[in-house]
Order: sequence, then structure tokens, then C-alpha cells
Amino acid sequence: MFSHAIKKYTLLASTSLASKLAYPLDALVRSIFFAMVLFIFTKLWSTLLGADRAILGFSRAQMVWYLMATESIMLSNARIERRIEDEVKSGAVAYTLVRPLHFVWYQCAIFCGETLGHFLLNAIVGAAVAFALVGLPPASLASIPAVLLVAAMAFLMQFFIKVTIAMLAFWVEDTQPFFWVYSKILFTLGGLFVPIDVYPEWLKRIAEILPFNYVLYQPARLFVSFDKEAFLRAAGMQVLWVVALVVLAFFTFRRGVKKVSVNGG
Amino acid sequence: MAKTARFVWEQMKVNVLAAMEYRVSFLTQVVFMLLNDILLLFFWWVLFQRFDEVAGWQQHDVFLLYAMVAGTFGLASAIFGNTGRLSTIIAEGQLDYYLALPKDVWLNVLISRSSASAIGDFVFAFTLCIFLLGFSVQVLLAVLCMLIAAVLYTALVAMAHSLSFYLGNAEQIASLFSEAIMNFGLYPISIFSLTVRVLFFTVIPVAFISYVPVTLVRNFTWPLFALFLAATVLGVSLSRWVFYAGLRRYESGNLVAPRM
Repeated sequence: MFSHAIKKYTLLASTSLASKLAYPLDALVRSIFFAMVLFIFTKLWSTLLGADRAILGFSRAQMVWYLMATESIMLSNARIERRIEDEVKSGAVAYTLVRPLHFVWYQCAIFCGETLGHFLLNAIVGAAVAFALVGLPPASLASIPAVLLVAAMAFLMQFFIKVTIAMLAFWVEDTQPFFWVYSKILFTLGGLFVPIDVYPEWLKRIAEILPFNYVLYQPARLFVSFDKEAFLRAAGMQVLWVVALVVLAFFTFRRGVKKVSVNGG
Repeated sequence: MAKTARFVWEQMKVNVLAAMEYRVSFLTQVVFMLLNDILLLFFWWVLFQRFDEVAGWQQHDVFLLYAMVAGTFGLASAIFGNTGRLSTIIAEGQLDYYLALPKDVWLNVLISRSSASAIGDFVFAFTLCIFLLGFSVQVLLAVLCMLIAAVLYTALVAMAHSLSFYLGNAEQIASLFSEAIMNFGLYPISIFSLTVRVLFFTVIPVAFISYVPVTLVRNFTWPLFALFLAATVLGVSLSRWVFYAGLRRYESGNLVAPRM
């Protein structure tokens, strides 16, 4: 039963990955935007730090590779929100609900497939641009599997936060404004552009308590400055947050689905 | 000119009133966009806790740059809110509706929609300008510069979308172009090398959307203002030329659909 479900959702994920890889030009345009952001920030950090200065232990090269890691995660996550909102508004969600799939896990499989497709390309383009701008990453090969594991957990956290916000479409007409603010919270409390170590102490403490730093800051920090203890702590906290977010997503779904009313068909 | 301005004003009023029909959605969009813009300033606030200046720009200057770019984008989306859909309209043969009307096609397509969230952008920009410049004539100058920059920005983005006449749906290229203008515009121009700066005054004229308006508000000079106006007139003329040259290649989609 369980293995059958895993097979079903894996097939869904691989189909959505294949559909993303089928349009490399679309993905490439997104990657050009990514390269542009990296270019701007390399210029900015070069102006602020020069070639040999550092800020709180972060050199210019570390800053650029940190940004490459956070932006790879930020720009790779699939935009499921618009699709869910459209489905709820148009009533098409009724078709998803009658399939032998759970709505949340169905969305999760699609998200994982699409996100993996984006991430592969973004990581390649980002690494090429960062390498051209500042040289090799300050990371050891041995730490890469651990960093990828933390990044995968970060994507899962992203999914459960996004799907919960998207399911607010069961109650409100337009969820887009919530996503604007969510993305800016990731910018700030997630540490998208600067590591949270650079923040004033009081703000750093707030950022550490909230889940958002486990989405961007922790994977990127471990990538540019790996530490086994920090990895175990971050991975442990990510597991706890994923469990909490799964509960929240399923609670929202159970409440929201009661609001669906389908007429005719 | 006055007739065109009146047409644009009346169309914008109708668009905003239509958006306000869904009052909760409208207010949510305005308020959340305001919040979104405030959070965008956060990055610079953190940097200026650590550094006194960024390539000669102080916190006050960078915040003014943000206000000007956000205001420009807000005005462009409020007045010319249909620009982002131009590619799709061309590619899907939806231009027929506009061709049948006794108005300038280029202008009529661009102004036939307004973005509600754009009002949030403009409120943010205007409030930040008052906060930075006080209740002074400089605020009025800032709004005038945002308006001119909004016209230029719209013309450039519309030109990129008009490539759909030649390339099929050019939406992605146009979106990338508009994102490039907005993203490069949000950073002090002095962090870039001389070559990039030359590009910003020519190929991707970001400088006329951000750097030139900010300089005019800080230190107004007639020659720079004349250059700003000339760049805008040139941008609009080029955009219209690309659009109307492409329109000759346009084939109707014979689309019969209600326009809501």
C-alpha cells in the first residue's frame, strides 16, 4: 500500500520533471535573470569589500557563492501557487479531489519534479557565473552530499509553507499579495542577500527562532563554510519544522476543502 | 496633447473603478504591495548599519533611488497596466478589438488595464519622498520625473513585447528585459564599470529610469532635464515605430470572445 503510493507520486514527480526539461529555452531565460542578479551583487560586494576584506568572516568570494546558493534555492522552487489558485477559482480543483491521490501530496510530487528541473539548471548556470566572477567555491567536495540534503529539506519546507498559503484561496479571492510578503520575509528573515550573521544582534535572534533561515541561510552557510555540528543542528531543526508544517498544511486542507461547492459539471 | 492626456486619465479612472469593484481584493493588493516595498528597503538598511556609504551613495540617496524606481513602476502599472500582456494580445490575435476603435492602437492597448497593486507602489514612493525630502517642491519634481520615467519605461517594455509581431510570443524576452531594467535600476550606478554604465545609457537605458531622475531631484539642471525628455521622446517614437511596422505583419485571429 505504502510502496504503491510512493511509486504513484514518484511517477508524478518524474513526469513533471520531464515536462520541465522538455522546454530548456524557458528555463534558460530564468537562468539569465539569475546570472544578472549574481552579476549585480558581485559588483556590490566588490565595491564594499574589495578583493581582500571580509565582513564577519565572509570574504567577497564567500558572499558571491553564498548568494549563488540562496538564489538557486529561491529561484528554483516551482510556482505552484498560481495553479492552485486558478484551480480553486475555476472549480477545476474538483477534478483533482476525485482522483485517487491526496491533494497535498499530489501538489508535493508536482512541486518536487518541477523544482528539481529548475535547480539542476540554476545550479549549473549559477556555479558557472560565480566561478567566472570569483573563482572556485570555498567548499569541500566531501561536504556536498550533506549540503544537498539540507537543501532538499529546505525545498520541502518551502513547499509546505507555499501550499498552505496557496490553500487560503479556499477562503480569499486572491492569494498573490500573501506571496509577495512571504517572498520578502524570505529576503529578510531568510537571509537571501546577506547572511543573518551580518544583522544587528536583536534581529539575528528573531531570524534564528523563525523557520525561514532554514530555507535559505542554513543551506547556503553550510555550503560556503561547512561545520559538522552546525549541519546536524540545522538538519534536526529542519525535520522538526517540516513535521510542524505538514500538520499545518493538512489542517488547512481539511478546513478548506469543506468550503468547496461544485455545481453541475 | 491635452486630448490624449484626457483620454488616458478617463481610461485610468474607469480601470481603477473596475478594480475597486472587488473591494477586499483591491485593498489587500494595495496594502500588501506597500508592505512588500517597505520590506525591500530592509537589505539596504542592514548594509548601512555596517557601511557608511556604497560607492559614494549614502542611505538617503539609496532610499530616494528606491522611491523613484518604485514610483516609476507604480505609475507605469497604474496608467499603462496592459503593457505586460501585449505579447499575448499580439500572439493570440486579440488586437482585432483595438483595431476597430477610433483611437491610437498603441496607446489604447497599453492603457486599457490598471494594476491595483501599483497604487501601493506609488503610495510607498510618494510617502518615502515626503519622508526624505520634506514637504517641498522637490516632491513635486520627483513625481514629475517618475511620470516621465514611467512613460519611457512603458515605451521600452512595449517595444520588447512588440517583437511578438516578428518572433511569435516574445513574452519571456520582454519580461526579462523589464526585470533587467528594474533590477539594475535599484542599485547605485557607480558600483558598475564604465562599460556597463555606457550600456545603461544606451542598449538597456536603465540610467534614464533611475539614475537621471534621482540626479534631477537632488540637483536639478535644465540640460540634464532636456536630455531626460529627449530620451523619453526617442524611446516612445522608437517603440511606436516597432509596433506599427509589426502591425503590418499582423494576422487577425478571427477570435470571437466577450471582452470583460
